[in-house]
Amino acid sequence: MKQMTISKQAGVAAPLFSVENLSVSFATDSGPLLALDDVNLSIHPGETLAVVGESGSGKSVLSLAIMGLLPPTATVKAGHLRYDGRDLAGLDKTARRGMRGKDMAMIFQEPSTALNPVKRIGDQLVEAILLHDAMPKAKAKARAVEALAATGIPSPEVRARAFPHELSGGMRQRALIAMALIHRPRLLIADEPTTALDVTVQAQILDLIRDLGRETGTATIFITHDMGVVAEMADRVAVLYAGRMVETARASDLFTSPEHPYTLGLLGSMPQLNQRGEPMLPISGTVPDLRRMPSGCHFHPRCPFAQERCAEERPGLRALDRGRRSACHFAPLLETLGGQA
Amino acid sequence: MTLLTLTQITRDFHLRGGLFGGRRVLRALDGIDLEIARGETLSLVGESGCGKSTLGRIVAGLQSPSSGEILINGKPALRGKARARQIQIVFQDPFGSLNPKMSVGALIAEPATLHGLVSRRDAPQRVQELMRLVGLRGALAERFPHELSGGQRQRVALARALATEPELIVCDEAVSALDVSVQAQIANLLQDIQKKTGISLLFISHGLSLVRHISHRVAVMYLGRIVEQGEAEQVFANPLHPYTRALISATPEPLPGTGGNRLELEGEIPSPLALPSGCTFRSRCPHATERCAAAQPPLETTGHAAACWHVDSLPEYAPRQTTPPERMRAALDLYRSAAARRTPPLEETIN
Amino acid sequence: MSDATAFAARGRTWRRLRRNPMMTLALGVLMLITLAAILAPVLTPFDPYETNIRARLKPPGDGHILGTDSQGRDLLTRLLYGARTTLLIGFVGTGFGALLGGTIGLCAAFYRRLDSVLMRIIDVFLSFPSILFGLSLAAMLGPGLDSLIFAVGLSVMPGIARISRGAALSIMAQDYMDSGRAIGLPVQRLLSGYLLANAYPPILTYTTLAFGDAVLLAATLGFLGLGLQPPTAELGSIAAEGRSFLFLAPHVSTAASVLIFVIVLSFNLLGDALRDAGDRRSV
Repeated sequence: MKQMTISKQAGVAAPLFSVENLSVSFATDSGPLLALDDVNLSIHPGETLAVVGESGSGKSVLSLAIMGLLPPTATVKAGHLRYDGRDLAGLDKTARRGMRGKDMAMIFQEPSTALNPVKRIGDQLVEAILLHDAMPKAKAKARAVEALAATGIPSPEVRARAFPHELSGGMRQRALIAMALIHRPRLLIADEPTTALDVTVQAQILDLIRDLGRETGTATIFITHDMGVVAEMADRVAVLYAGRMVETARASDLFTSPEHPYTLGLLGSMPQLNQRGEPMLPISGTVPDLRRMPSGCHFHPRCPFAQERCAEERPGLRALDRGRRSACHFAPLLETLGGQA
Repeated sequence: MTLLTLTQITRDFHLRGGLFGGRRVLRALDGIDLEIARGETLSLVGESGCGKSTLGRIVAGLQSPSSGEILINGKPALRGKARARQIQIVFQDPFGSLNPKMSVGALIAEPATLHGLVSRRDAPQRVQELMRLVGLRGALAERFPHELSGGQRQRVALARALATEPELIVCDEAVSALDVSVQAQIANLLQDIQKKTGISLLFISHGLSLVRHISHRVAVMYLGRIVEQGEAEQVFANPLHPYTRALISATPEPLPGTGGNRLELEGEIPSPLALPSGCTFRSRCPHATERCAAAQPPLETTGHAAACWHVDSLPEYAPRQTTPPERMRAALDLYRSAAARRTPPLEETIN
Repeated sequence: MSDATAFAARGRTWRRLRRNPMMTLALGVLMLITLAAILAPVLTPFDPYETNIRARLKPPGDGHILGTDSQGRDLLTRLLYGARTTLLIGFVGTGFGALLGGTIGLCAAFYRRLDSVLMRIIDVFLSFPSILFGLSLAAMLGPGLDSLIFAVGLSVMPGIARISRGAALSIMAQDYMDSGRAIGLPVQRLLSGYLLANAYPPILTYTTLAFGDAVLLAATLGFLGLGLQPPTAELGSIAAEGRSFLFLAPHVSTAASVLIFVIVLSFNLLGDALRDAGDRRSV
């Protein structure tokens, strides 16, 4: 994994998938709402990109936009999605549907709602197989059991005959991963896949996603709000706040030297990074209402470093050293602001 | 001073097995002994199905134990309104725990007037005091729950719990459904309120990181039993039970290069209807021997103790690296001091 | 996002209700009919019971807007007074059924021990056809307004009980019910301020639909001669009376039937509109 990142750094491989200047707005009863504002990201084969954000950051809208599953109330105002060099904007609905499951697949936060409750797990897998590959049913069944086995489900033949409610949350998530990976998609979108799970099960599922991704060379976009999960999974990280990308960096760099106040706030909200017994360092206030965004930098009303300039001028995503980019007027933070402390 | 004493609390649920099956008994709690001191935060941790929420509900008086004794201040616990005065509970889901037909003011005033702690005329003033205590703008009293954010709702739930001036608040996963930054706000608030009022907290959680940060003592539960308990610092520095070790090891740390090399548990939690004999953890324990199948290991109720036959022969605990890198720490310090310098503090200006 | 949607949900129900033209129409028609029925003595100069043999079965026109019936009484007057009776039976009967059914449903959800007993009783009620039910009650209690209201009430009650139980059960699963118990609220406050206050929308919708059924049942019993006895004006019995002269004077039966039809349809439209407006899944 490390090597791949380095070779990419040298500018060898082209990205498998990229999002360019994407803006998505929603029509609501009380006017339009800009859920994504000029978002850029790209991902290479075999890479895991973590998209971090809290509720209202637009991270789920991003995953739906990538999958081509935006609801009809959403409008893509600008931007392009490029998969393997192809512009997805030019494709019609049928073509996009043909890509889902085959080229790109998704796993969801709530495995129980993503599975059909009245159909056996095995049959759902067979259905998914036959959707893109014509083959005899018996062969598809064998492949379904194989796929379940690959996710570490014990006695997969038995589980294939089970209904979703007969499995535990962890097993359901494994089945869902088996289904997502059945056609070996080159891009996998994991939208908070472990949030609903217990800690020890979460650890198992994280390992599974990482190992399968490594085996198949799948590029994974991992959407989460948990910085701990990010540290475990990601090669690169993109931090979203209120529809805008505020920081992007390689994971090792982000956790060594975060360069946006919001990223710092997220880290400061992790109990592990605070002294026991001391009050934690939360981000003050709440995520702004997307229909009444603050001027300038969206984060300025909650930012302890905010100055007048922040309310007036929108900071662009500026390149720093080592491929890091931060949308803060004061990045690099320690060098710019360190003297004042 | 001991506030709450639980002795041999057991709770059975009777299930009907299918159309013609006989009745089956699910033992959700099995001989729980626990004490909470005044002004203490005791955390119950464990994964889904371990019985921690059932125990919390029993403490709050929402369920009764099948057997066992509950003492509050040394006297047998009362039920109904009298218990409500002493013990309150805050639930996990901030979107389901407030009656949507009542305004914030009415929600907070209700317990105070119900228990005769304030007259109807003085209630608005008491509401304002409580709202200030939980960091809510007074103007929000007119609003309804659906107009508030998750964090604000959880503050309202807390104010409502505080309104009966209880001695203990059960926080049943009270921060788990919130955004990380809001979790930290509410955790700070809980600690702050504890400092101001000397209230005890029973903090129920499936995640360990916050527990480690805010609790004085910790009890780890697995399948209806407490498997380890002790001072939080000791439990996290040197976990004795293999299950506690697995839980700690499975918790992702927000530090670079922490992926992999975890102590992983084999298999899944067994069905509570078909528990393994002896130590219930043995089916997933890497250290299990015949002895573990023969009898249930006892748990010392004082000091730091674990219910494991092999406590003394387990391998030495190797703690994980938890120090953040130098530059990250410097940046966090910078953020902290900048946040402290803001006047008025940002948190109050916005909520 | 979830915050934003919750925000937008406020007042959406009512706005969507008003935006629904069918609902506005149905409500308008019902209010008009109810008002006309109440004001019948003021609106018409005729007496609904005074017969006039010489003016029998007159077609519409000539002083009588809708003509006259077989006894020479003004048909419009009869219909207004008949609507009075029928609506009264519908309203009071449904009200009685809703009160009883709602209480049973809420109690079944709240006191889980009573649940199976109460619901088996409801099942027994549900297994009788409502006509048969009204018929036996009328036979048992003798014909009269009271027994008719009683019969109508009892026949709509089981459905309302079921809906109430279902609605209440989903509310019982909410944390705020526990939150209410945890602060030590007395049972009556939990039942009214917490359970009913949140469970009522589907109950209200169903009750509105049940009005239509109740009116229809009252009219049917009247038509079968099991309701109020002549000469009392009641829509069902007016239609039945007119049946004997269907070829000679079709306007009598037709006018009564159309009025019943309009009333029942309006209630059904109103109930549907309420359901659509309250149904969050259709957003």
